[in-house]
Amino acid sequence: MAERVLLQGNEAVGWGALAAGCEGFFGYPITPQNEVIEWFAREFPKRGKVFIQSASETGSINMLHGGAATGSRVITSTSSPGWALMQEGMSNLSNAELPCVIVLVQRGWNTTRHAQTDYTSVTQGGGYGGYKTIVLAPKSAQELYDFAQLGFYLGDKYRTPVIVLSDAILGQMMESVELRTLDFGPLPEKDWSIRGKANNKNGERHFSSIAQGMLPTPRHPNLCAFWADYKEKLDTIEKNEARHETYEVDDADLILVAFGYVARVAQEAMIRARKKGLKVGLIRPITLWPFPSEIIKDKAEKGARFLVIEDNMGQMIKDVELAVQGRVQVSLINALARHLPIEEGAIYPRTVLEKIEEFF
Amino acid sequence: MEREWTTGTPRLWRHIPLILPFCPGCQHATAIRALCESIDELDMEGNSVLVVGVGCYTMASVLVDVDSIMVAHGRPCDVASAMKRILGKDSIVITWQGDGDALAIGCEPTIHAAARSEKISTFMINNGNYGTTGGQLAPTSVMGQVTTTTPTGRNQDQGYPIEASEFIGSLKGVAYSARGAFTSPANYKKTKKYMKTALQKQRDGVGFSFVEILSTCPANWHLSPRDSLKRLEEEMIPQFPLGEIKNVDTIE
Amino acid sequence: MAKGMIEINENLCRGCGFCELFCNKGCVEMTERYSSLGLPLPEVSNPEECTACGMCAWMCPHLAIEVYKYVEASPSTSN
Repeated sequence: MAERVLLQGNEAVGWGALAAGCEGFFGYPITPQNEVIEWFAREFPKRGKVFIQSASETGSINMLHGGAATGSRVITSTSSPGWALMQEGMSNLSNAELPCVIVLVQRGWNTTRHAQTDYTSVTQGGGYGGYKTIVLAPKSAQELYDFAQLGFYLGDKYRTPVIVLSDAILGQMMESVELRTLDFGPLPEKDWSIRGKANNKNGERHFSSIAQGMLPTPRHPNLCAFWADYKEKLDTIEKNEARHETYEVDDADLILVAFGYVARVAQEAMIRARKKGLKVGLIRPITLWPFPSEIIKDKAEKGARFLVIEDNMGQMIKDVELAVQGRVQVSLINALARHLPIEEGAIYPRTVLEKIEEFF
Repeated sequence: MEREWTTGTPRLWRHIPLILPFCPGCQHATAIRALCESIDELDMEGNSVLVVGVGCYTMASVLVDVDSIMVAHGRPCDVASAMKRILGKDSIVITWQGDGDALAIGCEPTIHAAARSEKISTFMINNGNYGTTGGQLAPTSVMGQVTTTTPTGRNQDQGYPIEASEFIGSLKGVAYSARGAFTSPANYKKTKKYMKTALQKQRDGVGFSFVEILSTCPANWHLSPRDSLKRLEEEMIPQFPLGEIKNVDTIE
Repeated sequence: MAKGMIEINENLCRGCGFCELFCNKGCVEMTERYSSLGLPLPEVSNPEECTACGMCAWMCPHLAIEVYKYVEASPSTSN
């Protein structure tokens, strides 16, 4: 049994990265993720690992680019405004197919408090070029710890950046975490890493580019050859990596859909509803891209209605509607349902329960 | 009598089946050949990593036979800083940039890499305008210079050119800063010496090293190759004097 | 007697004329001939004067020039 400790969500990210063999952190301070960068500043240099405080989030993401290109596992973290600055870098990392992990501790637009306002930006590829990146949505400090490790594994497996989508509540909350090192299985050799020719097989030159398809390479003689390969990779990820968790969906007439900390609010509301005899279930997407559409489509075909709860103005609901294909009703509880109309406000289980009762 | 090769295409220059995008009289390739020779002569082929930004010189990323990486416009110094720290002191990490790349969009990474005293070498080609995009104003355009975005000549409204080597050289974390040009074989020799010194500073782990290389851009200057060499000597060198600006063996 | 030899790759040449400009001995001259890109081509008009100094190759911005020097044949390869 692994050691169990009390950790803040932001610090759990650090311990998770360490367990995954992460070699470098590059970041810039921004509330509410400051504990992440401070953790790495404290824990990495003394272990002989790399820590650089960049001069901006644009700097962080490009340092991440450099670190990832060496084939080492590297990570950065930021919050929403910094995430906006990282979009160009995300596009480049996706084109260059470099694995790395980005932890996004969301905050609500220009507040410093919790929200889920970056859903569309992380799932739809917020930069240029039409890329997608795997998005993991933890709901607890334990999952922040685990998903840091899973993120590195999936990144290496598919040669893609992976986003771990946290937020101010998950990042600041302290919870018990079991420090378990996860083993996901073997990974392909990184025969593309840029470490100097002497380190390469047969001394052959390695080349990494953010303009794959522009300069012809043996793998991609032209632009469409690259696009075809990239599309195939996205299709494979969509087919294999969609993850979700279900609660009491088998007999449910109404299924709640929520991710991140809101999933815990929804779960509480669901439990209270069940106590009242209402047939309510919950689907919690764990990967936001690829989105677990199959389970939602399956339940929609069986006639269940859907209630999406998200702490923004309604972003994930689009993915749910796409999965449902108009078969059943999809309703929304958004950030306007917060108990106070200010940044400290939160969606409470009782608000969700009141809405649930309207369906029965 | 037998013939023996003496001078020409450097050993580390890769022959690729592409027509190079260099206009007649453009000296980007001269700079890249000087880099190939420098790396070869210092025996750094196996442990060098070339980080290349975006501009006409981006071709350097496929022309030099060392591991290389093409990155975002303006960001080579960020990428190189991370690579050097991860690969360790035995690696040689070189950035290859233009004046816009290093001084305009990439001013932040360049200055901060220098300030952090990253053990990397930055080579910046300065041709006084944005060549790839058709000759617009650059941070290094001289006063009065006509570009497509300063049709009546650069004046106070656009401000003044940045003297990068002096500016970078003024930072404490910098071990070496120099400016060269290829206006004559003698200057070719000197510029190559600057480049080799910069690489040696990195190998010795002293600090950030920087070499600015003045280059012609005949197509966008609307001059013949020969006249552009003349302009380089008469208009650019007075603004950007050649020579070593900083050269220290230790930074305390 | 020429000490060196200049070889110009006309496929790489862009006709800038730097070879003519920087040859101290006047070995290279621009001509009225044009390459497939429509650019003027140089030629080695005065090969006897070449000292294999290599300046033309250094200054050629398109790496179109290779310079060789003449050396005494070594016994092992002359027979």
